Amino acid sequence: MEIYQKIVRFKIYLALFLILVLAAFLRFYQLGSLPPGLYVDEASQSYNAYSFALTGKDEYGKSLPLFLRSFGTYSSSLYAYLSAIIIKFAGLSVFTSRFLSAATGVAIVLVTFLLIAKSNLQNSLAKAVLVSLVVAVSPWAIFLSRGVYEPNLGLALLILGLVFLCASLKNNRLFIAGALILGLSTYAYNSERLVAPLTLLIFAILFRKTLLKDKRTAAIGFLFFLISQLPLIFLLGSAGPVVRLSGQSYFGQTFQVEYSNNWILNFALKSYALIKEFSSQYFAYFSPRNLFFDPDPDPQRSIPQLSVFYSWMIIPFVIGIYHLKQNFSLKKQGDPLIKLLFFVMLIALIPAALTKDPFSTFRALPLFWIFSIIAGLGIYQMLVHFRQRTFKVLVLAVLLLISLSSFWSSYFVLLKYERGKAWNYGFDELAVKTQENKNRQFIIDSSREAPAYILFAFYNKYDPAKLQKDYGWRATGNYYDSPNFDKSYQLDNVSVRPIVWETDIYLDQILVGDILAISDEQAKEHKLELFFEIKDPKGEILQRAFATNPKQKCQTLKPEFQTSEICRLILGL
Amino acid sequence: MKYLILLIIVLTSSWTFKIFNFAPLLAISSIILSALFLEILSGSNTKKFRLFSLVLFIASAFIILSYGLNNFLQTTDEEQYLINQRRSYYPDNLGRLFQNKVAFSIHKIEQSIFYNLDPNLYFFAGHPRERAQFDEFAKYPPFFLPFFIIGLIWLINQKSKPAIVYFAAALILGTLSRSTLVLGPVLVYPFANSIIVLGVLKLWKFIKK
Repeated sequence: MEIYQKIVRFKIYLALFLILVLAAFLRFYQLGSLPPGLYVDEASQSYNAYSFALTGKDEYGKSLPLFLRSFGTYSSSLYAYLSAIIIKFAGLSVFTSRFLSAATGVAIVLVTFLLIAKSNLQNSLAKAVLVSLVVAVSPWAIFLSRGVYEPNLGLALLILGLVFLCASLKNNRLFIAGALILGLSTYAYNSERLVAPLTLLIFAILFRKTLLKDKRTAAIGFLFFLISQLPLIFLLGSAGPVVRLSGQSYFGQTFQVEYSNNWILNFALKSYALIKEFSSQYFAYFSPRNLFFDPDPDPQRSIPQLSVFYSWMIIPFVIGIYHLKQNFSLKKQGDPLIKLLFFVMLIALIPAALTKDPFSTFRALPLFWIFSIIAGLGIYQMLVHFRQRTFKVLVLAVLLLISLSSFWSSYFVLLKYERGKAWNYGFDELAVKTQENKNRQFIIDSSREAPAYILFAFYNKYDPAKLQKDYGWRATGNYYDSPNFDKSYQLDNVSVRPIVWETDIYLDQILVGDILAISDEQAKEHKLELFFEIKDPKGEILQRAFATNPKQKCQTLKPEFQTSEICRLILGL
Repeated sequence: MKYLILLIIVLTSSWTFKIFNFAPLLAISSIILSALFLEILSGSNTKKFRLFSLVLFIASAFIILSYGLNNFLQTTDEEQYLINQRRSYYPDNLGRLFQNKVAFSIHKIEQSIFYNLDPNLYFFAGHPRERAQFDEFAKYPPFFLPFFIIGLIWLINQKSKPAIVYFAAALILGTLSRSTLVLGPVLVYPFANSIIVLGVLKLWKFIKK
């Protein structure tokens, strides 16, 4: 009997090992080149990590900031601090920047296995294998692990905190570690600032009897959590940490409701509109359409033709819900993990539902993770019905094959070709061109583009000390109270700012912009000569660089304009 | 009591009037079907009720299907261009495997099914993800949603086979019929009405306890 159990355990751990290898492959393969390019938020986190690694300060010269001042808003800083260690030793590149996120993605698979394996669920080890397999191959989990995304780190810490909290039901002392990890997660991503304290509170309410058995440990745990939150509490009054929420939420917007002079009616109508908005946002995350069919509407946060889950997963998902419903009870006999996850699922959506983005995958990661668990448990229930072992393996293999081929098609093929622009494809090439032509001045049009200065700083490994010296003054005064952002930057021979047509064409330089920034008509009218083009993998032009021709431009002007001061200088009149 | 609640739901639902404007006979049959389905779910599961419901369901299905069927196999020029364009991205001619008419048709069928399953389409006029070029309308006032959820949870607990069969059939017909584009999946209407009524009744019972 003992030998049989050992064999079963060996098979389980072998399966886990293979799942981890698969998870690592899906997260690290072509990590430096896919997604194609580097998004500005990724560049910001990574360049600040680079800056921390070299100078101990962020790009504005601020030592150890709690939030990173980034393009008029403030993002969480934990990713940059941890990434700084990797960048310090392995150098700055797209791969090293995304490495932490990919590693975190693999860790999420492992921690999920541990959580389910240690639960009171029947056949917990087999269920843990299937759940971790679902997490390993789910599109949301792979996608979020392949970019510099703080939410992935936040989720990993939240899950780790849950593992410790659940384990503390058997060993009280682990509660302190769980509370501390949850506290740490609030520095990883904004959503966790709300989800982590609520998770701890729900845990305390659900398992108060167990917690009260060791009051001292419970008190220390809560105290540590509170201490970990003190810096955030002190910053509550600053504009920075709340500017993101106020910019993203719908509370300030005018709803299409008939306002009257009666303030009571006005208040009631506005409240109804807000509740309706919140409910519609909240339930959008439970919609099978959004979970299994439609991708996130933001092209930078989604994969073509693929939603957060594969469409076939709706079947095990429904089975999983049905099965959990049978085993769910708020009373004592209910499984502690299932009870806890049920409430975490409900609260995890609050930050997402408070913002106006329709179905933002980033803000609902804990929900997708819980749904993956449900789908994994559903697969287990499906397989239990098959008697023949070979048939079970066959079904699983077919499902895995469908999933992986679908992911390959959407991510490794379509994303590469169709999402280049959304991921700032080609800026690495552009940065190289600026380096190759150091004697030429480049104007990178920023009138409609994302804040491209950070991409040049990243790709050209611009000296952080120099950037701090030149632009640190923009964050003077209270660092957390100055969210205003000026897009214009001068980094060596690269000037990132809107093109000023009245003057720029009379200076010998290179103007760079997309097809809308510099049209063919403008190029012809101002005698601009095509210097180079940057195309996406599809062959579509993303950026065009034109050399100005001040002399020819002045010569073609009407004589009365040729005598203008600038043309007289150019023409030597 | 339950019929009074059903009447309130029917009268406050804009879906009723939409169906009525489009096909009065279909609206009447759907309302009767709501009452019958409610009876079946409430336990009056007699043969007579089942048979009458089935006849009415088939009649409604015929009316719906008479407005035409969705042709999932047909692709527009624009869709064909997209398929061809995407095919060229794949190595070793693998594009034919992933981007073809069959895959595109399956995609369209999935789209139709999943859209009909979207709760926001019923209670929030598709908000926050309204579909372009669609006449989105909220089928029920949003405050019916909690009752719908309570009713649905109760139904899951009951393991009601008639409910599962009915819903699956209504969904398939809604996917096939072209009228769904204008009216939504009409045969889901009796199902949703009954569930909302049951939700109200279960909540009322819980409060009284």
